[in-house]
Amino acid sequence: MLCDKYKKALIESVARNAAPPNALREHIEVCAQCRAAFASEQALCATINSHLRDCANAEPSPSFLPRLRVGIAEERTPAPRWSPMWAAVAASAILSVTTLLAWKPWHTATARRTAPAILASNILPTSPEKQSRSESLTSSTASVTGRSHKTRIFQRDIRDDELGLLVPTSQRAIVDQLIGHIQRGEIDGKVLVPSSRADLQISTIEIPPITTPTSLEATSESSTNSEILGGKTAGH
Amino acid sequence: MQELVLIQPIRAAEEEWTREAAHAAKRRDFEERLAECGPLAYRVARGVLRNDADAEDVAQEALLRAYRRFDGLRDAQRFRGWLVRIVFRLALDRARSAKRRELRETEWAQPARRPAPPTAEEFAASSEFQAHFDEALDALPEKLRLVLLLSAMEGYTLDKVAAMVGLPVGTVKSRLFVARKKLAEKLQCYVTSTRKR
Repeated sequence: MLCDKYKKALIESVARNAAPPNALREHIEVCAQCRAAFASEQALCATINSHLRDCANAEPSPSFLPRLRVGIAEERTPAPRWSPMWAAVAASAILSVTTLLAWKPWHTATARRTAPAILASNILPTSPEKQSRSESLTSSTASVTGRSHKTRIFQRDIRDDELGLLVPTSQRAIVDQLIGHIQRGEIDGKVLVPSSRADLQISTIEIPPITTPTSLEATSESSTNSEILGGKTAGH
Repeated sequence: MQELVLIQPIRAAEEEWTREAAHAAKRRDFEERLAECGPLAYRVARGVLRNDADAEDVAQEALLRAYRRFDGLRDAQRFRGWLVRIVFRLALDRARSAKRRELRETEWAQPARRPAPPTAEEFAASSEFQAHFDEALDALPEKLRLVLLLSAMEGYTLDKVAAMVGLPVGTVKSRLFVARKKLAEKLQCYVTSTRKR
């Protein structure tokens, strides 16, 4: 029990690297067990110190400093400075990217509005001949817009379930029937594809002059009046 | 107005020149310190990593970082402490990532990493002690470990260490004491267990 009390002081004294206090020294002289423990602690601390010295005083390889100087010399090469010209270039790049990002959704929305022009190419069955036909239509549409890649992206954007949005609700049943006929092969789908631009143009319609209800009433009124008058005269 | 227009570019050029001169003087100052601080950086890194190649890598990286930021250092007297802290941080990061990598690798290659049977008892005991010592050192808190390593370096008295770390000498002494005590306690267990064998 007594030795346990001194043991802590013993370790602390060795760890402090100082001479043990008087009370501890007297106990060590008397107690052989504590003397052995003290010697063991001292040996352990000496080993720790020697390991620490080895660990902390290692010499770098002879090539370490020359390599370091080379590294520093490389660092010394002046970095490109932030000139006003570069600032202007960066600002314009940021502006163009922002404009592009803002313009893309708007363009997609515009393209969706022009969808009926190429609706037929989506409906047609995909036989090789029809495929080439639809491609020619796409390219002709693209040549009109002048942005072929944008048109292709637009075609991919439209989903099948979205096509219904392009047809007025009152005509959806008829269009569905028509598509059914085309898909079954009962009707040739080519009829939907214009062969030339002339097919897309609507010829002027001649509208005959409309007879207004007032003129009709006037004529009927005059006839009845004459009848009445005639009756009256006949009666007279 | 005309005078102002003429004077301003000259002043700007003078300021630029003064700045460049101060910059160059600081660079020269840094390069002069390399001979002393290079090995110091290496030793700190080596103390944490205990691997020559890794220690050189980390020391070089730390010195290059210090070189890049040298202009921002207000008090050149504190350069050593500043550098030591950079190296110590980088070395700790490297040691942590190495430990993680080692853990990952041991999960996949468990049988290959079994230690070879000792050929000589003495050698085995020594290498085993070294392994335990490294383990105990790594387990020490960072602030204790740095003080312990610096004070073990030749030519660094407690006063110098205290100045380098930016702490009072009393604090350095107490940290050193706690660090040694912890190391001794951990390694004592190992010594007693080997004696029992």
